[in-house]
Amino acid sequence: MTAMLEMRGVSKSFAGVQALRDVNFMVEAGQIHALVGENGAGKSTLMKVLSGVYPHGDYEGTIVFDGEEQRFRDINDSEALGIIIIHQELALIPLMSIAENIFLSHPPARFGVIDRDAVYRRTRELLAQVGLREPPDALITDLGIGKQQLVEIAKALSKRVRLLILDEPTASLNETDSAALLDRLMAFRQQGIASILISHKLNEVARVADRITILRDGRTVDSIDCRTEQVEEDRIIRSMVDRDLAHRFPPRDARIGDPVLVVEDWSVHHPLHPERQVIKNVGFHVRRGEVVGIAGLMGAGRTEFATSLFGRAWGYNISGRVWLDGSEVDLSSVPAAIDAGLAYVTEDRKQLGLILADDVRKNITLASLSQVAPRWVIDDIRELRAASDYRNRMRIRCSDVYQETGQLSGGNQQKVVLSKWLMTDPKVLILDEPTRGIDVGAKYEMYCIINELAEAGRGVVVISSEMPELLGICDRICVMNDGAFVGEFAASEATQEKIMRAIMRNKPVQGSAERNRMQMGGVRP
Amino acid sequence: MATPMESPITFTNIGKAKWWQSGFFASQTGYVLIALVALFVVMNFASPYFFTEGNMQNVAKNFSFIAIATLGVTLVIITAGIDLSVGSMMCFSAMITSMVMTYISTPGTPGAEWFVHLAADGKTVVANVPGLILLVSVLAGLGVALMVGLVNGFCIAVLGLSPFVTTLGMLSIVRGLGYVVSNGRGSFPGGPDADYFYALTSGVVLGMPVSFIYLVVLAVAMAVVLHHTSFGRHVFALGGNEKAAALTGISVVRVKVEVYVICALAAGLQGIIISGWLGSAPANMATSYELNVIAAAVIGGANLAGGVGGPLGAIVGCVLLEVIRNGLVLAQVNSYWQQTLVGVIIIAAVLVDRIRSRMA
Repeated sequence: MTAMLEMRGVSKSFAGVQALRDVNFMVEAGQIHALVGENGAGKSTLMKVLSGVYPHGDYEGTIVFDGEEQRFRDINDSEALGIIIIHQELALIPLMSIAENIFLSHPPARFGVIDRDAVYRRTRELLAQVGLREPPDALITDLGIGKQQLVEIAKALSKRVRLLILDEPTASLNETDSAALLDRLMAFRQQGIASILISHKLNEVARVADRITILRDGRTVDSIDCRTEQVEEDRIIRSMVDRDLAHRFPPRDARIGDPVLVVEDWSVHHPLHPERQVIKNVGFHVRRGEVVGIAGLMGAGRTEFATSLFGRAWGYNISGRVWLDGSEVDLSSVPAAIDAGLAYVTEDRKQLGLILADDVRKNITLASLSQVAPRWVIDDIRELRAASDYRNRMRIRCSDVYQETGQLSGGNQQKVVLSKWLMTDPKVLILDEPTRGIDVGAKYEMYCIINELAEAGRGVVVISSEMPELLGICDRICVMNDGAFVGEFAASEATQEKIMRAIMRNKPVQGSAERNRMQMGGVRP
Repeated sequence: MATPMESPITFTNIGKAKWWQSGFFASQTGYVLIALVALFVVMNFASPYFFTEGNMQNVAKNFSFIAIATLGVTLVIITAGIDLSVGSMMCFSAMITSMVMTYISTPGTPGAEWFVHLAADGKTVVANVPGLILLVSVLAGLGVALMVGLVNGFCIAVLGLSPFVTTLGMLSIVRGLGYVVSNGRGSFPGGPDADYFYALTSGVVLGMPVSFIYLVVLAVAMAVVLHHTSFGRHVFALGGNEKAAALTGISVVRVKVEVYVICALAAGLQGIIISGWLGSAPANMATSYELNVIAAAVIGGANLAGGVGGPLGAIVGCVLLEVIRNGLVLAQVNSYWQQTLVGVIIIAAVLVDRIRSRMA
């Protein structure tokens, strides 16, 4: 096989920050090349250089594709050669249908008029290829992040892709969908389509990659040829963080007390489809000092459960009773929930967790300004002290607390969100996918923090799609499926198989429950 | 609760930006201010009349005629909203103020006995504390502004209508109401307190037009509120990321309503001041002023996407517009060029910011 793409000596810097230093990177035709590294290591920057987001002249070094030097002026130039990038932040138009999104730039047309039938037919084919069962006219805004990701891949397929770049494609997919997606990549390999896979999930990488290149601090530090060398997870992690990770999870010594959060008969309906009961009269509890995991597939209702609990931030026609610390509380608004001692750390920190344009300090104190603002006026010194205190305690890596949160890496942004909620001194914290899209080192720190929160007597609820993570850090794991809890295990006796079995045993045949419901005119059996 | 874990990861690529690449000097307000200073220098050489006391007073007065309203609109823009009804609001508040003043100063009308009575020699005499008439009429003018602001805020925050459409409608509604109550005629401040009114709106104190003094006081107050209170934080948070703000426990509805009310009040006050200078409140007063006000806010660095802006920017924007207008007159340039140039500056100011953020 020959080199399809070669990037030589690529360097790129942003005002004062050297993002890439003399990076060499090569992809062969029909190769799956995994690119791993901590957040901020320069993976996304390298891909943006490759795809022309940063035009020629904005960086140093050369890009050779198909044996010719390329000077991309913008993303259209690279797409013309079949280099297609799917960013972490999806580029779909929410209020357009799947079909319209896929064929936005190049709709099949007859005499200038868009051929609707052809669009829908092609869309169905493409959706089948990525394993997505949605009608072509479904709106993007009605799909979850995972399904949107699949639409993006279908969109790339619709262009004549030769090199597909996927920036953490499986970060928001559940295991079944991830596996399906990776199988897709391997099928593409047969067709001679090369892929660059950026991922934090090393088991995936090890499964599909032909070559693994590891970036650290903008440099290539290691490259493993998987066909000739043994892929060792430890070696990758060591290269990524330059440190031995003897244990992926910190040791946990739980001291569990009385129940701190008790939920009974909690029922939530979908805000757009009021007849659909999303959470089905569930009960739930967390004890003081306990870490409870909520496992489940995407769409099981975990986030919906958490956000409806958190001041009814999501949902319609919510009913049920909640006790915190033994007394019944009113959680009818977000401020009420915060006052009662509940905190919810969102899965989507950029859209829902942070004011990215504001600095670290303002983000940390935003939920508890009354603590630093006696009588209306903010005490700058007190605020600075509080923010710096959290910065040190959480070890947030930023130049100072006045740095824009948008400039921080994922793990550090997550710590800022967590700091914000810790400052409200909650009795119970709900962490929704707390380690999504953050690197190995930061994950370990997050686990340590979770441990300490529990040790301080708080109740911690962790929603995660990564089962090893739940098994590693929780005391008890509740399994949710289709809006109800379908299993509960003590951490000591839980295994991935048991959890998966609990889910699958209760999983209705895909789509049939939904159809029945529709046919019965919204009346549930 | 610290995590005493040795950090083997060193971030060599985290460096501090140069002083001129961050903070005030990197903001649009910063370099528009620099452009303004440069313009002052150029004008100084271009015209000997520019730096005379009279001209400077004139400039100060003229820009403060839209600057107070610009403060209000800037606040709205920071929350990623817009208020197109400020021009109409200026007119309506001014009109209500002078109509109420005239009404309660006319002996014999129902209710006026609280304020005036007719003396034996046929002169109108103040029945109560001096200045009460003025106070009541100004409060009436601000009262209608408060109500308009509440309606705007209710439609936008509670009903979820778009700010553009709501205030576009309100622009027409308020202007129409002005024509209805005045029958299309202008109204004049009258009665015994009219002199106080003129003194307080178009007088000069310590060589400065009073409107300029109001502006400075309000701008300082706004700066303090925006940057040093919880309310200010909430305003910026709302503009930066409304969903995140709501999930952080900020009462989005309340903050939005407050912002539109403050904006309407600022416009109302502005209108009352302008009518004092004009000596009347004609029904077509301040027509299309909302465009000047928004232009000034945007030139001064308020970002229509929300999250950015401040009182200094609002003032800088207003001053720049006025100095250009004034300068073109002094330089004896055809005054029709003025609007064209203002348009160029709006685009240039935003363009420079765009280029700068691209380079960073």
